[in-house]
Amino acid sequence: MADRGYIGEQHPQLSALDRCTRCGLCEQACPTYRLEHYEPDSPRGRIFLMKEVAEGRAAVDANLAEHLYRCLGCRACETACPSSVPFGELLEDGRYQVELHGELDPKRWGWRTFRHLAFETVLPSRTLFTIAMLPAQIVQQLPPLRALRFLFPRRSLLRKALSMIPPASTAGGAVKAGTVIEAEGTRRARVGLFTGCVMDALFAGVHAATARVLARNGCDVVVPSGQWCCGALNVHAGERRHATEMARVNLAAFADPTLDAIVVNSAGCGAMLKGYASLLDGDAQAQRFAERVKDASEFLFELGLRQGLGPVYERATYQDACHLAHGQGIRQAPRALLVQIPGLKFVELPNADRCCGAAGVYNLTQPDRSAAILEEKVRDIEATGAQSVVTTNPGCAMQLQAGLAERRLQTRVCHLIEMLDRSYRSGP
Amino acid sequence: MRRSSELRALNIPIADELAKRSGSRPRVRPAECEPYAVAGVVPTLVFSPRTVAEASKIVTALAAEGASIAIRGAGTKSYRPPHPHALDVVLESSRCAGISNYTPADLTMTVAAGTPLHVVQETLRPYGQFFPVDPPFAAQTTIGGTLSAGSAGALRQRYGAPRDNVLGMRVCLGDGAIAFTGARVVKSVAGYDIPKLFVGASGTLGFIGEVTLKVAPLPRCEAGVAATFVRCEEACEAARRIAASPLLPMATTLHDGHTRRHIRALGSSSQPWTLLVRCGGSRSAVLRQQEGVIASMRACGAATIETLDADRLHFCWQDVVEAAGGAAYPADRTLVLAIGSLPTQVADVCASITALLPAAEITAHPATGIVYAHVPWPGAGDPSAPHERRLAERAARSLLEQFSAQGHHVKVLSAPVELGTLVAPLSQSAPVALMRRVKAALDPNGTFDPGRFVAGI
Amino acid sequence: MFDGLVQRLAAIVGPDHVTTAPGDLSNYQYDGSADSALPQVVVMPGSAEEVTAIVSACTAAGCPYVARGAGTGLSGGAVAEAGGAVIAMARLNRILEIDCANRLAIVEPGVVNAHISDAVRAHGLQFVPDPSSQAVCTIGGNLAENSGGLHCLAYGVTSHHVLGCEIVTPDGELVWLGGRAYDAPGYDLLGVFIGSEGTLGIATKVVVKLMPLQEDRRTLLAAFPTVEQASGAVSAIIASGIIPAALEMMDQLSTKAVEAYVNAGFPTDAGAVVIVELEGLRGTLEELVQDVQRICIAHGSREVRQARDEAERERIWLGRKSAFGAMGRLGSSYYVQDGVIPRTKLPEVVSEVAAIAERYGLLIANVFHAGDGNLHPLIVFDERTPGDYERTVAAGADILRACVRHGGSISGEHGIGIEKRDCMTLQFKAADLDLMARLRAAFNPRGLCNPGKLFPTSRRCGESARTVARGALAPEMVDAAGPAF
Repeated sequence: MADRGYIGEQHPQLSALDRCTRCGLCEQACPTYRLEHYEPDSPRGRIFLMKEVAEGRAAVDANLAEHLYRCLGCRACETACPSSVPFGELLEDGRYQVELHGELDPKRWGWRTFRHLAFETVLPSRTLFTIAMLPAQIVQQLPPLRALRFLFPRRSLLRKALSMIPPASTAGGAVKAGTVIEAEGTRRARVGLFTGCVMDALFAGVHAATARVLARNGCDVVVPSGQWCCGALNVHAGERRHATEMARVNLAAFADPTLDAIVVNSAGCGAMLKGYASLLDGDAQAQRFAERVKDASEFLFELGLRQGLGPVYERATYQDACHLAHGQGIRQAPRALLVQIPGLKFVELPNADRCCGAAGVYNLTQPDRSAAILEEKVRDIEATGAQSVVTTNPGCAMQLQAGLAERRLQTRVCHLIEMLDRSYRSGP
Repeated sequence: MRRSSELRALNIPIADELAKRSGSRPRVRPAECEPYAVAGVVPTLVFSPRTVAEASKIVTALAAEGASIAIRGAGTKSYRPPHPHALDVVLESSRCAGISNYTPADLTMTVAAGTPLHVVQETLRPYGQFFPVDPPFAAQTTIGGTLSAGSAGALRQRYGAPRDNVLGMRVCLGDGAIAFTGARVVKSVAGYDIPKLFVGASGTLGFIGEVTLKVAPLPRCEAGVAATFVRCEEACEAARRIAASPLLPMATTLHDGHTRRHIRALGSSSQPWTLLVRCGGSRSAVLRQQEGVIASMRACGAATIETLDADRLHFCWQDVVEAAGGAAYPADRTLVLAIGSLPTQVADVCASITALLPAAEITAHPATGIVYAHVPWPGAGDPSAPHERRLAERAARSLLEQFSAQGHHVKVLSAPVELGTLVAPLSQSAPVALMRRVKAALDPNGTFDPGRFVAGI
Repeated sequence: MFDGLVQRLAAIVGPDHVTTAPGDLSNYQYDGSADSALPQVVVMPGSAEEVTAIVSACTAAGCPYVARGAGTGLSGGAVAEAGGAVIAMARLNRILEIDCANRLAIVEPGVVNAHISDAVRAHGLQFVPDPSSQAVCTIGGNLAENSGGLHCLAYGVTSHHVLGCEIVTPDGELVWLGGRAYDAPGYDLLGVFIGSEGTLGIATKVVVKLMPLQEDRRTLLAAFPTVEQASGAVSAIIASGIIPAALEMMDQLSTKAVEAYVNAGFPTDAGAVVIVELEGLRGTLEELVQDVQRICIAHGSREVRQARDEAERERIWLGRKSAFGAMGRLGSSYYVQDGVIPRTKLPEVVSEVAAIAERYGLLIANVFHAGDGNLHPLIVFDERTPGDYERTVAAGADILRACVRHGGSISGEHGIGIEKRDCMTLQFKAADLDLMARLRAAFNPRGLCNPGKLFPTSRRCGESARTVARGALAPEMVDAAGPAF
């Protein structure tokens, strides 16, 4: 049996764990607790397990690993917590310790292989990542290939993967690294656009739309070259070495002091970028960087949209990305932007701030739980009768799309920025 | 249990001995005891303790003699079946009376259980407060009697039943132990909520000595609405709609033509059903309530609707409370049933009663689903038509069975002597074993009114 | 230890719903209180019949057991004090029937409190009891603790809103207490079962009353120079015949802590603030609002503010609900006491609490459900300072002694459980406790159903060293969903 307690300095800290009073107000906010009604799969349960280790009463073991990895990391519990327990950080540190403790459980070999391949090999390498994305991009360009999914049984990984690939943007366009898109009219700000990895590979159209909307609103949009994946997936999986390197790469890419803001259109990346200061242990440069990071919705809402929005005659609803609502506390801005679109009938989605079950790689590592959570979400979307469901994160977009397709619904998934872009393009 | 005759033979020495031990001298002569008869059965001894401590001494001494004890307040509900065959001792509470603590701003009052309800109400009224229960026998009944019988009036609609307005109690158990239970403040979760157990226990668990009541402010304004209906269903539907609305009136009662006649302030009506709603609150709230009540009545097809000002309403209410539960009828010649059903079932319950017992006079509290049936019964000495009486008795028994089978909660509140064994059957899932054990725990020798509670407890 | 019991339990509920894995058991050793004790097995029934079989199996094996809802209780009610089995009721979470016409619903005990109101709101109805944990706590737990809530002043606590329940008795018998209709014949066992802290059996179905939603509400915030004046106003409001839906008070220490934390608009120079919420029919509240204002001013209030909109109302309640989190800023931990006094004794007891604070050298802030005289003194202490913790518990016990001396109660809503079992002797004499013990024995003759709760041990009140309800430092803002307690 392993020794009790954590290794090294990077671990769930007692000062944070102590804030939990075990009041239990987080329980119903937690998707896995709602699913299983099982205390070890609740935020309070996980905090307690981490605290047992921190106080030297238990070891980092397979049980802890299981419950920490069953967590989606949606951080809805942080919103419900009256004592401000920083659950997201605790979870990442807890998973980091699990990985530090190595081969806890032979059953976890599959995950360790995947983790090694994905987070330590492919994601840190631009080349390998580009190659890995190729099949998806082919499907994206040749929509009939999507039908191949029917060859695979329901709930199989390949079927899910095929239905997740987003369609190519109809608006088209792409942003090129190292370019600047000039502001239209009077210049109001100069911003850097964060492009990331998956967004860049599969949601190029969203980046193009973001640049158009920002420029339309008087922003010079700088797309720095040299930037790369934010490292969020690594950190969520308890991988910090490569994540730290990626963070350094991005700090360097956005070193330009004339940028008023670093705009990011992926909620998961945004939450990570805002957390660089803590990842890099309070590094001053990271601090300055993090302060300038703004989600696109947050930035545009604060800036105020320029006139010229044209009508979009649609019934639309909005799914809060967990890392926007719970991770960054941004709920009002996206809704406030949507309701400005003429003709758009906005309907609130019941339980909009509940996770859709995508949660990074959760839909791959915990497919059954992910599917159960998604089913509930799709039913809620169906009940709104919306033609479009708007969100702000690539993982959520792909997960929702797969869920809607599986239920054969016509509801389309689109990014908030795409909706704004559509509106501007249909305007005068 | 000691046989009554045996006790009677001994009564003088026992009385002396008990008087010495308890400091309380019992009534021993039959003529003295007769006013304390229970369903016509005269007790051998009658004790009138002044305090729960005295009661304890009496109970301890009597329990040692193996006597059985019936607890009595004002004696208004003594015809509750099953009637006793014999009666050793009555412990009556009239001298255990008085208000020991009342702080109006605390909304609590502590009173001895023998205090008449009307004394409590009169003490509270100058402070703009009242004990929000309106059981029958309002002029005679004691606090202890009201609670022991669990008599809830129509005010339950807004204020809850007596059980909901009792905070604490000092009781004397069957082995003479004195215990305080509950609290003297309006909110407490310390320990079991045992006062509720004594409410409705008909004095079979112990003698209630002192009670802390939760009192309520009188509404600043009151007014009423009375409507008549051709069909019972329509009146019930109106009552149900009113109760389901945010209007929150104080009380709703439904009367057939017979029970309406008891309500002097209303006069007579050619319509068979009368629905009366008591509104209360701030001036503007009462107006809104009246409007809403009238609208619902009209929508449900009321034949006539009239509003009542506060004075007329109060005059009405004096009679309304007596029109349910038997107060308006001679106890030895009336069968009184109470049926607990759901608001949507009240009309059916009324119809079933009328079908089997056409002579029944009905008052209902349709918002809370309670129906009271008062069936006039010829006295035991009445020579007329024994055959019809037998038929009626059979009808009454089958009505009780029918209601129990339908899941209604049926109680025989009062019955003439010849129906002294008439009790409602209990449902299959009733916790009879638990109730027996509770009785045994609190009254280990079976001293208090053995055999006179449900299931022969 | 309990031979073959685990196998029998697995046969009853299926192997997926019973666990003895040490890691999982450790998560079932606590509830929302500071107490904890490890069970030997956790079993999760899916039906009333399974609960019956579990209780019978435990009884046959002589194994103690305790039912657990959401585990949010504050006095250790769901802690397996004597080890044995935790029966986790969370899977029994179906709303079985909603009968709008008769304003009732039948639910399983694992249904979350707020989910009932959510399910009936469209019909203009609500389930009234609203404990601060209502978003997570379950009806079974509410029954066990007789939960109240901010609105219990006007509408009553759980026992006033439950018509009946099906329970499994400790004998393994499935019976109904009460029913759908009022006035079930026999003893009011329902009344005594509610609030029995899980020691008399396990509820498996609950019939709850639903109440029509109110049309309108007004929220007022009044500031007073002193707690005495504020208490006077509270008593005068009640004495004037107005029963507000909620009537809360906070002393200066609490309002200062809150304002340093969230902008609720509380005047920090006031000795106390009173929050009054009135509910009723549209167009009828103005009269009451004016009366409350007049009474407050007559009692020395310098400022009575009415929330102009929902946002301002929410801000006021956010301030009230943040009190606990905010107090965390003054020390590393806090202990919440829960006592009741006659509301007219508020000023005296508050000055006694101040004297206790001074005697122990502790910081104590006061938050009250003033309407029903329910005090929640918050004792701030530092967990890492040796002796602080013990002094805190002792001070808490002294506060309870003061409450009892003034004719009050040692718990208004948090329950006795493990936390206050040794304080029961403050309020109850041996004969009073004996009556409770007799009742428990009638229901629970072998004492296997939730042992170790409610009844005193040999310790003195304030001495039980393990028992301290500990809150902790919360440096950032809390959400409106925070505990109101």
